[in-house]
Amino acid sequence: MSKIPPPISKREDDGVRFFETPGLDMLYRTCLALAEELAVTQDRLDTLERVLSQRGQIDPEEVDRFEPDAHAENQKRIMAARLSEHVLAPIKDLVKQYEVRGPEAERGRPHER
Amino acid sequence: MARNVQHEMLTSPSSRIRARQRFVLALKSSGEQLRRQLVGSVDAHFSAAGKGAEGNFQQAVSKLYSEDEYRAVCLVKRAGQEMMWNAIEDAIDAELPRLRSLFEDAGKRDVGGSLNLRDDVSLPDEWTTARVHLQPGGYLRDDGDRDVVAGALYEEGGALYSRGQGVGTKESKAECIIRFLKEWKPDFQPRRILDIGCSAGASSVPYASAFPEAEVHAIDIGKGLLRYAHARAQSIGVPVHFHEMSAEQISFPDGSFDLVVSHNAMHEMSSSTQQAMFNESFRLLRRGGVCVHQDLPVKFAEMSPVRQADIMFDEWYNGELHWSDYAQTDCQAGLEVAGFDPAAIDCKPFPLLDKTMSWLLAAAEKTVADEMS
Repeated sequence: MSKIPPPISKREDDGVRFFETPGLDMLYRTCLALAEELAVTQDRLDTLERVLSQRGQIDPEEVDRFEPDAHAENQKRIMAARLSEHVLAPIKDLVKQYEVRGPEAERGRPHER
Repeated sequence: MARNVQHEMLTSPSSRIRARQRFVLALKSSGEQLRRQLVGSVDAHFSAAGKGAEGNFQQAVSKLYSEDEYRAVCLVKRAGQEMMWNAIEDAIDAELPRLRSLFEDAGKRDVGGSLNLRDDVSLPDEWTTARVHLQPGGYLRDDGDRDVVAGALYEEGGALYSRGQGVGTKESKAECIIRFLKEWKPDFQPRRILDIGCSAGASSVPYASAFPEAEVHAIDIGKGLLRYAHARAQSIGVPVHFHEMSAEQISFPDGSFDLVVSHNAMHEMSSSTQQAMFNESFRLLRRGGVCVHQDLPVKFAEMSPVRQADIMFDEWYNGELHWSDYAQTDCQAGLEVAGFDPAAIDCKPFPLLDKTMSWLLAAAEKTVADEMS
């Protein structure tokens, strides 16, 4: 049985861009990666609040007033950098591909590749 | 023994990875609902425009895949699948030494199962690069003689995917076939059973539990799948003999089994491999023996052009090599060509215990003598 070709061509690396507008796939993927990070954070926060609440140790006002020391501040910076790396990963990939393949105009429209 | 059976080869992901898996599950589930809703809507417009008849498949493909909304749904489906594998692979990576050591010790357990790998199985070229369902490294992934990653990915991915679809949580595929057999042949007590395309062995084990007097053999083409399947079955404590063999060329003598089964294997085979599996089923069964091949009830002929175009996503963008072949296959005809008496063939959708969906069961009894007719 002969194979039916896909309506939106795949790239050589088996990846696919569904939108013709350059960058739109990346934008969607960035949003999904961000949502994943947010879900993990919400989950962790929920766990912490439940554990601390069970122990009678949580005071929401104290959390609001919290001043991090140097070590905690550094940890928070690392966390923020990690989140940023994750969110920007699709764009980072795009930039890497650009370095290898050159400008869009020389490659044709994404869905035609 | 449904999907939630616990054993030592399963990972215990960190809370962070569990949170990612929960999110991916929710994302895939929401994406799936959106896809169904949108396809229903496109289908209604397409049909209303008088394009619902047969022969409009290409028009439906052009229409559906040019809609920005559908492209967004496709993207979420594809990205969700990739995120799922990332979250599962990270959980497996964190426990690789433990999983390898469980595999190494599996043979020492007094269970009675075995693992038989070989290097002379010939496979179609497409399998060397195939990433079915986008599974990282594909089914043939083999990172060394202790490697079990392909099996771990298959089982953990399958479990998460099925939970997302709400499938098999109350009754596994094998349990469904066993229930079908009890209805179809109430006195049937197989002594030797063969599971073709066993992957991680999750469907092989229930037969050994349901028919404790029987000897259960299971075959697949992936070494990493089979190592995992062996360690898994030994961990559960159920004897299964796993072999590296292709469905097209099974190295057992004629008439050596009472029951031959496969689970979700037909849709991953080319038409010729599927026919070869039917032929081998006939050859391997003794007179009075039965084969039951289970898979998804996907029939192109029963779908509108828009729905046909929609399910092609899995062949084009989700690594299903032979989805369109399978959707147009005729199991009844294939079993007849293999030699089964048409009156002894039963191909039909069979509902799961919880009635959430049906599996297609292609079943046949070998009523004729052992020689190929």
